[in-house]
Amino acid sequence: MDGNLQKLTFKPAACVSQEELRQYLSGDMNRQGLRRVEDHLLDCPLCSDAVDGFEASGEHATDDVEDFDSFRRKLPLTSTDNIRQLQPGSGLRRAIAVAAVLVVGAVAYFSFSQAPTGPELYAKYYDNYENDIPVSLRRPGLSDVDPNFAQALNSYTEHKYSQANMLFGRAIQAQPDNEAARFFAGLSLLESNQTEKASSYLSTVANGTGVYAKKAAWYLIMCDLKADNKASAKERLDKFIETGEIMVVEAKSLRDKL
Amino acid sequence: MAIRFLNKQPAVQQLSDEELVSRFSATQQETYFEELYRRYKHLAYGVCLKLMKNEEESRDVVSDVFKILFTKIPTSDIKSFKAYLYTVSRNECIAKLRQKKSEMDKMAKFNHVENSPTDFMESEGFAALFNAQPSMEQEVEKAVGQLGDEQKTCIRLFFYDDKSYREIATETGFTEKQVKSYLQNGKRNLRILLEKELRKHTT
Repeated sequence: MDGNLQKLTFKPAACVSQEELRQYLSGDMNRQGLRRVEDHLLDCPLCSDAVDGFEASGEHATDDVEDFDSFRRKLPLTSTDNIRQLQPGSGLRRAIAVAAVLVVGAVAYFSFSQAPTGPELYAKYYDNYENDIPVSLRRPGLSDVDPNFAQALNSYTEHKYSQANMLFGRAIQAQPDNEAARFFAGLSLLESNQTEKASSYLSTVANGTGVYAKKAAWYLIMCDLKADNKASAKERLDKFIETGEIMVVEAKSLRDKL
Repeated sequence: MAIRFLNKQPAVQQLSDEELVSRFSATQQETYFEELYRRYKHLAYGVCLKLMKNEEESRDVVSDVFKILFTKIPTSDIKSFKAYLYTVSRNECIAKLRQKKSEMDKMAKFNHVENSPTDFMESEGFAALFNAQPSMEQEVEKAVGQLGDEQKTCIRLFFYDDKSYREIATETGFTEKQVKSYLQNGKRNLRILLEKELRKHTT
């Protein structure tokens, strides 16, 4: 035994894909893939039970479950997404296409006659803010970088928001004046649907004079939209447009829709 | 610093589970739910196969599970999609088995799982703590030494020597199922032991 302890990791990994599962069950997997899957099975009850289920039943057809197009017929119609799946062709398809046109018309009518909700506007105007802290400052272990902050930024970049939330919390506890930590904590909480907490962090940044102040003000508006608090969003947006430094076109367009 | 506002939306395939859940909740657009369905339907099917032991019934339960998810996601505060899927899948299977009176004896084997965060979340929190530490080698070695013989053997062969479940089974005489179980329990015990150590360091 070579005693290489680095092979022991607790880092959560992606679940086993359908193709990996097929290869694993049929014994077609290469050594590297086998390693990844078997390591993941130790930590993931979902994948572990799934493999047990297939092995116990002798079932290796991992694609035996209906595809989404077939499954969607069992769902209530809630979105215009369905319309995109239709193609002209047979009489039946044409009839469906006509129905789709009528649905589009109805949707268009309601779109014009009803104001969009906060979450709908959020979906339209929100964009994930990329981690813009230099890589050199994200590396844990540097003497002047708080390891929780560095790790939190990495988790944020990898879209692991629950983990990032916890680590940003610790970083802020250690360095309450860390503006970037408060800004990214706010964004991470917003991604995790914790709009109230997100607003609290972003407010302190927006009320300050740091480099993230203006950007925090924009994301505060996004918090209001996500929480469907359009009145507050409108009020903040008016102030945001007044100063007019960034995002002017988007802000004015959003203001029109509110 | 590079400021990138309003960058292009990533394709749904590039979004994390959390982002898909969040966007589906906000917009109700099926595209986001479809991606979750594509990522996890085979795993939900496997979990159902394990409990139902019947392919046709398992397919029906998978369908029910995703119908439930489709309705519940927009109104639930879901921290981990896969943990939620696992819980709903197990509970649906158990509910179906309860309905089949002739199969009541199967029920004794399973406990109803509560809708609460499972090991998934614990693992993620611990991973962050573990990865933030500069060197844990000695602590890990010490913790491995405290494991029972079977777990210790399997842990060493798997993590130190890169052996597969099958190779460990051949070498030790355990079945592959036993190997997996010793590794799962051994790794969980290691996490508990190391967590205690880490808390000492961080407090």
